[in-house]
Amino acid sequence: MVEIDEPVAVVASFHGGRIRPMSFRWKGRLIRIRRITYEWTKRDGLRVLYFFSVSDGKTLYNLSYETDTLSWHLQAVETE
Amino acid sequence: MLQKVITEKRIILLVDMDAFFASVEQQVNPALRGKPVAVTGGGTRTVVTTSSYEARKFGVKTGMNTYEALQACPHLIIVKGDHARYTHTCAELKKIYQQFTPLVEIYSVDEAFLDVTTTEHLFGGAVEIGKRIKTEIKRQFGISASVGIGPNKLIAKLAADISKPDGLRWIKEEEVPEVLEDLPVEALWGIGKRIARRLEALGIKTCGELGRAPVGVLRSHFGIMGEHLKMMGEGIHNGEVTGDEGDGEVKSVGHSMTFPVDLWKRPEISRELLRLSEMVGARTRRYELRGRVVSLTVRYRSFETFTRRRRLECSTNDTRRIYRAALSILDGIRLREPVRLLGVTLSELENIRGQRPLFHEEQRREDLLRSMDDLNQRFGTLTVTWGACINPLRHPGVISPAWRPSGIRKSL
Repeated sequence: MVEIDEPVAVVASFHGGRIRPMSFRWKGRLIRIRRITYEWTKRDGLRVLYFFSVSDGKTLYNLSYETDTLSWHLQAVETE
Repeated sequence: MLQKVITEKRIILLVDMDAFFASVEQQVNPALRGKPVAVTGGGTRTVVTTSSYEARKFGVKTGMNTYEALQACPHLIIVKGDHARYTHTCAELKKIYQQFTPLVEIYSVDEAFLDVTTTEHLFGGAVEIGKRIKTEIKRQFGISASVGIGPNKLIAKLAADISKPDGLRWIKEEEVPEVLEDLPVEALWGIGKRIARRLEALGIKTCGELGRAPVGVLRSHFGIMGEHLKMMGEGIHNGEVTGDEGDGEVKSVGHSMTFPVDLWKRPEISRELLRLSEMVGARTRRYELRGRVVSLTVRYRSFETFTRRRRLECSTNDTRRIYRAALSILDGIRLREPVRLLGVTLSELENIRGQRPLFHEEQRREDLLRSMDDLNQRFGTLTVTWGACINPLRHPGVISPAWRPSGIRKSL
């Protein structure tokens, strides 16, 4: 994985206590998420970070959502 | 005379995740599935922490460095571990276990004991519970677990070990002697190579032989452990499944850290000791405890490990006092090699709930620490810390054996 750590705009659903990212825009391209392969959280103080490994069918991306700032980041991209 | 505690028949499950870190990484990245994968620490250390079963077929083992692992399996895929994924998964697994019993003991990040003695009838029996747990883990995380069932923790652990991977085995009480008879002693939980060698020198190779060995002989060679070893040979284990959230007495609070690079310079070692002392102090204060004995554990590059203790004049949870005690222990040690791991532990704990120090200076000191703790609990660990702790070495991503999803471990 190559670390990116860039803020990205994400379309996601917040329903039934779950967050499901559906698509995001990166480098001017709209990436539709076909599959969430894994999700996990990390706490730091009261701040909670939600992480999602997602795939568009070709490439694996790591997205994070921060509850403190309501912001999404593209954390990393699988290059191979 | 052996003391055997006879209690009601118990039914204990051990859920042991198969190649846990590697399995999680194979779920995160589907391209890794079915391939030989080794997970290394998250920092600059390149030691294999877990490998997939595909890699194990080629001889890749935990503890190998990446060079050795690649020699064994040239097409091995090496993945840097992310411990947040594993600790999160462990916390979620605990929720699954708690659907079947409140008595859940998270033994390590990938193993948990469940006492289902009083609840198994609600779910169709222990085997049914084991099957449902395995199915639920597979459904939620896509990974497999092995479940061992036995009349105690020792036998449950053995049942899980011999059913790996993705197995389920129940060793019933009446089957224990037959299962243990020809089993090598190292197969038992808690008997390592060193003890096995010492037992072999006494002509004891199997659990059956260990169970029949005269207790006097074992006691003369192993001291108080002798009786315990004999009981293990007989498949007897009286340890209870203890929940990890406040029930039972906390015996010690400790933190240890393996560094991304070995430490040799005194200022670096002192800085890391202060950081560990702060972690121990903060956790002890959070649980309103104070301790009387500070222990320092040092592991050299060669893995030689030792612990020294110092008793304080009065109990404390003050970071600076813990640090000073740890430092004074260090002063008495002539380090022979660079240091790979340091650990600080506070023990002989007492509860201080509601107590306030008598003297003004002590009160000021307590207020300062409380303010720091409040800020760190709000904004994250070590947000406010001691000046000397700035620029700490990055943690290599090793999950401490003392880590638990919540609560506090009873001992280091």
